Amino acid sequence: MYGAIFAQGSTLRLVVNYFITCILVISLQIFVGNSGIVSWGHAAFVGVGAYVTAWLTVPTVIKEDIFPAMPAWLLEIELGFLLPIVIAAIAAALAAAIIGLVVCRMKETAMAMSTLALLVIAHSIFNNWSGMTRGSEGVYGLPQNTNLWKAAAFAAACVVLAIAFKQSRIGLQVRSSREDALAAGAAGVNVVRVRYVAWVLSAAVSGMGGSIWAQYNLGFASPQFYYAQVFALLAMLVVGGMSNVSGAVIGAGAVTLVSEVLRRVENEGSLFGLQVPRISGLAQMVVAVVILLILIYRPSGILGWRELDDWVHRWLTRRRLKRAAQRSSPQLSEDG
Amino acid sequence: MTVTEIAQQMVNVLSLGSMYAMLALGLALVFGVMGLVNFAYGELLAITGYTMYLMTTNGMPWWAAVLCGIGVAVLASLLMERFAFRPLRNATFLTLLFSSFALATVIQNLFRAFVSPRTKGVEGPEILGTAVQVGSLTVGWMSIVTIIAGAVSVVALTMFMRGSIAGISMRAAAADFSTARLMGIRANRVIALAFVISGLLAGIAGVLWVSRTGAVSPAMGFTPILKAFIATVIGGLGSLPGAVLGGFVLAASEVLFIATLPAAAQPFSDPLALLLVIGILYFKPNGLLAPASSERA
Amino acid sequence: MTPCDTTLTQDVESQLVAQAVCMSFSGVQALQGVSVCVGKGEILGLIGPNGSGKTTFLNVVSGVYKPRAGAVLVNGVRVGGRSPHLIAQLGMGRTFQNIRLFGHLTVRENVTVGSISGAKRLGVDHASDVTSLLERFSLDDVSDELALSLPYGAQRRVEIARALAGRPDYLLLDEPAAGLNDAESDSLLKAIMAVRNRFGCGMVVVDHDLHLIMRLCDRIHVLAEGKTLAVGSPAEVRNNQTVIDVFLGNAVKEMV
Repeated sequence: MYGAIFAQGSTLRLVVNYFITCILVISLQIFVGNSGIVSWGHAAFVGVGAYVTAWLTVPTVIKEDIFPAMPAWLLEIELGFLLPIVIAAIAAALAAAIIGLVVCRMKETAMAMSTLALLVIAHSIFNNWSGMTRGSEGVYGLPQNTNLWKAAAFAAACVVLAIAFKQSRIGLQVRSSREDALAAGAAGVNVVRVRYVAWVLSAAVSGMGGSIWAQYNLGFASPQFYYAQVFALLAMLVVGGMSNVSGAVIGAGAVTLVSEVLRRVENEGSLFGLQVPRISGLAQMVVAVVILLILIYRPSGILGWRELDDWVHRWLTRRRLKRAAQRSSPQLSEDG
Repeated sequence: MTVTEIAQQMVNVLSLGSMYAMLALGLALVFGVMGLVNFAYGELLAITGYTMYLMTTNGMPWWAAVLCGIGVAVLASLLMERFAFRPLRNATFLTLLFSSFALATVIQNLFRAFVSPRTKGVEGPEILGTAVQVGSLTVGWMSIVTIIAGAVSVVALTMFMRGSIAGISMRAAAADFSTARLMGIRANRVIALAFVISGLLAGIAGVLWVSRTGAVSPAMGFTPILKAFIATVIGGLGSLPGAVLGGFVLAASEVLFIATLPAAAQPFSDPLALLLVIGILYFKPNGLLAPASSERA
Repeated sequence: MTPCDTTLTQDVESQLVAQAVCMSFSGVQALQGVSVCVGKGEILGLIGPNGSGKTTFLNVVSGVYKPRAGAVLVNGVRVGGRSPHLIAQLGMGRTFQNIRLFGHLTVRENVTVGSISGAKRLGVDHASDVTSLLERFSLDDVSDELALSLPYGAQRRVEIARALAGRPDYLLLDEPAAGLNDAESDSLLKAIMAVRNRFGCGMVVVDHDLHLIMRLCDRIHVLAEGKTLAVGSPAEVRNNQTVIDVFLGNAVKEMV
C-alpha cells in the first residue's frame, strides 16, 4: 500500500503538513483570490481555530495547569477530532462576521490595511492573554487526532468547497468586484455584501485549518500567528496563481518542496553531495527571492488566470485540432 | 494627573511623534511618487543599525558609525529602487506592497545569515542615557535629540520641496503619480531622488532608534515600518503634511493609552491604538487630510 | 407632473426623470439645474461639447455621484444618492466611456453578472437570457474567452450585452460608438434600435458622433457648460441657432 511509503517519519510529517497547508492556502484563496484584496489578518482566524481547539481537546487533567484562567465548565470538556473542528470553524466565522461589519465596508486599499492592523491586534491578544493562551510560551498537550488520510480528506473537501464557491453566483459576483468594482456596482452587484460572504467563509476555513493543524502538531505558541506565517501563505498563493484554486494547491506544493529542500541543505550543509555553507534563514530568503522574481516576470502566478483542468482541456483541444488539420492535408504537414 | 505629569506626557508625545513623523515622511515620499508602500523601508533602519554595530564593534568612533550608517541607508535605498522596484514600476498597489514584503524578508534573513540571528548590543555615547531638568520636568537627552532631529528634518524637507526645482517636481509627481509614470525618463530621476531622501530619513531615524533601544536584531525593522505605515494611513497616503500629522496622532494615542491604562492592560496599548486606526479608516478611507471623495462607489 | 418640456406619452411610473440636478467638484460646477425625462421605449441623445457634463450626468443618474441638489426618479421611485447597485437593481443598466469589462472573467461570465441583478427583480431564469444575448450580439463563439483578449469592437458588444442582461428599464450608453469606424457604427445603430424594439427600454445615449445621434434618437438634449441648452427632435435641434453656434457651426449644418 502507498501508505507504507509515507509512513517514514519526516516524509510523513511533510506530506501531512502539506495537506494542512493546502487547507490554509485555500482558505486565503477564497477571499484574497476572489476579491483581489490582500488580507494579512487571516492568521487571526487560524489562531482562533487553534486556541479554541486546544481549549476543547487538551485532556482535563493537564488543562488546569496550562490554563489558569479557564472557567470550570470549559475545564471539563474533552472532545474528539471532528467536533472541535466544527466549533473552531464557527468561532472563526463569528469573529470574522463581527470584524467584517466594519472592515468589509471599506474601500479596497483601506480594507487591506485594516487587515494588517487586525494581524497585529490578534497577535497581541494571543501573546498577552496568557491565562487562556499561554502567550509565547505556548500551548501543549493536544492529542494527535489528525492523520494522513483525515488531512488529505479535508484538503480535498476544501478544494471542492473553494471551487464551488468560485463558480457560484456569489463567487462570480465577488470576482467581478475584483476586476472592476465600479462596473460591478453598476451591474447590480452589492460589492460589500458579497465580499463579506467571502470574508466569513474564508475565515471559517482558516479556523478549520487551524484546528486540524493544532491536532497534528500537538502544541503551538503565539509567534506562529504573525506576519512570517502570513507572508508564507500569501507567497504560496501568489506563486501558484491567486485567482484559482489549483494555483493554491500547486503554489503550496512548490513552496513546501523548495523550502523543504533548502531546509535540509541548511541543516545538513550539502546539496546532492555538494558542500553548501550553512546559512541560517536560507530557506526563507530563497522563497522570498523566488516570490520577487515571479512578481516581476509572471505576476499572475504559475497557473495564471485559469484552473488546472481548464489548461489541460485547452491543451488537449489544441492537440486535437492540430491533428485534425494534419489529417485533412497530409502534404502540408510534410513541408511545414 | 498633575500639570507636571501632563507636561511630561506631552514631551513623550513630541519625542515619539517626531520619530514616527520622520518614518512616515520617508514612506509617504516614496508612495507619493510611485504608489508603493515600501515594506522594506523598515529594513533601512535595520541596515543602519547593523552598520553601526559592525563599526562600533570594530573600534570605530561612534560619530563615524553614525555617518556611515546613514550613508549605507541611502545607498541601500537607491539599490532597492534600482533593482527591486524599477522592474515593477507599473504593477498594482498590492503587488508592490507584497514584493516589498518579500524584499524585507530577504534583507532580514541576510542579517540572520551573515551577522547573527541573535540580538546584539550597540553602545552609544553615555550622554544620551541621561536627562536634563527643565523646570519641574525631567527631559531625557534622547528625547531632545529626537525632537530636534525631527523638527530639522521636517523644516529642511519643506524648504526643499517648496524651494527647489527637484522638490517641486516631486510634489507634482506626488499630486498625480500616474502622470509621473507617463513622464518617462524624468520619472526615474524623481523617483530616485525620493528614495534618496527617504533613505536619509530612515538613516537618521535608524540612528535614533538604535540609540534609544541600544540593540539590533534581524526582525527590528518590522515595528518601525508598521508605525510608519499606520501614521501615513491616518494622515492620508501620499500626503506629506498628513504623514507628520499621522505620526503625532499615533504617538498621542499610544501615550494616551499607556498613561491611562492599568498595568494589566499595558500590553494592549498598541492594539488599542490600531483599533483607533481602523476607526479612522472606516470614516475617512483616504486618511485625515485627504478630501472626502465625492464618489459613492 | 414633470418639469421637462416634453410630449411624453408615458406617465411618471414609466419614466426616468432627473429634476434640476446640480453637481460640483471642489467648487467647480459640473451640472446646474439639468432636467431630463426619458420614457420607456424612447431613445434620448445627450450631446454637448467636451466638458459639458454629459458623463457627469450619467454618473449622477446611475448613482456613482451623489447630486448636490435635485432629484432622480426611476419609475417614480426616488433614487438620488443611493448606491449604484441599488439603482441597477431597480432597473438601470449602463456602459462606460472607457470600457469597463471584467477582464479576467470569460465573456459568458461577464454577461451572467449582469443578468443576476435583473433576474432577481423579475423572477426570471437568467441562464437562457445570457445565451440568447450572446447569440444576438454574435458573441457565442467567444463566450469562453477571457474578456480582455477580445478586440475592441467585441468588447463594446460585451459591455452592452452585460448591461442588457439585467433586463433594465433604462439603459445609459456612454459613447458606445467611440473608436468604431463607419461600418461598425452602422451596425451599432441597428443593434441599438433592435434592442429598443425587442426590450422596450428607455435609453440615454451620449456620443460625439452627431451623424449617429441624429439618425438614432427620438429626442435630443443638448448640454453646454453643465446647463441645458436645448431639447427637442433631431430636426429642431439641428436648426437651433444657439446649438449650431456652440458646435462649430457648419459641422452641424452638414448633418443628414
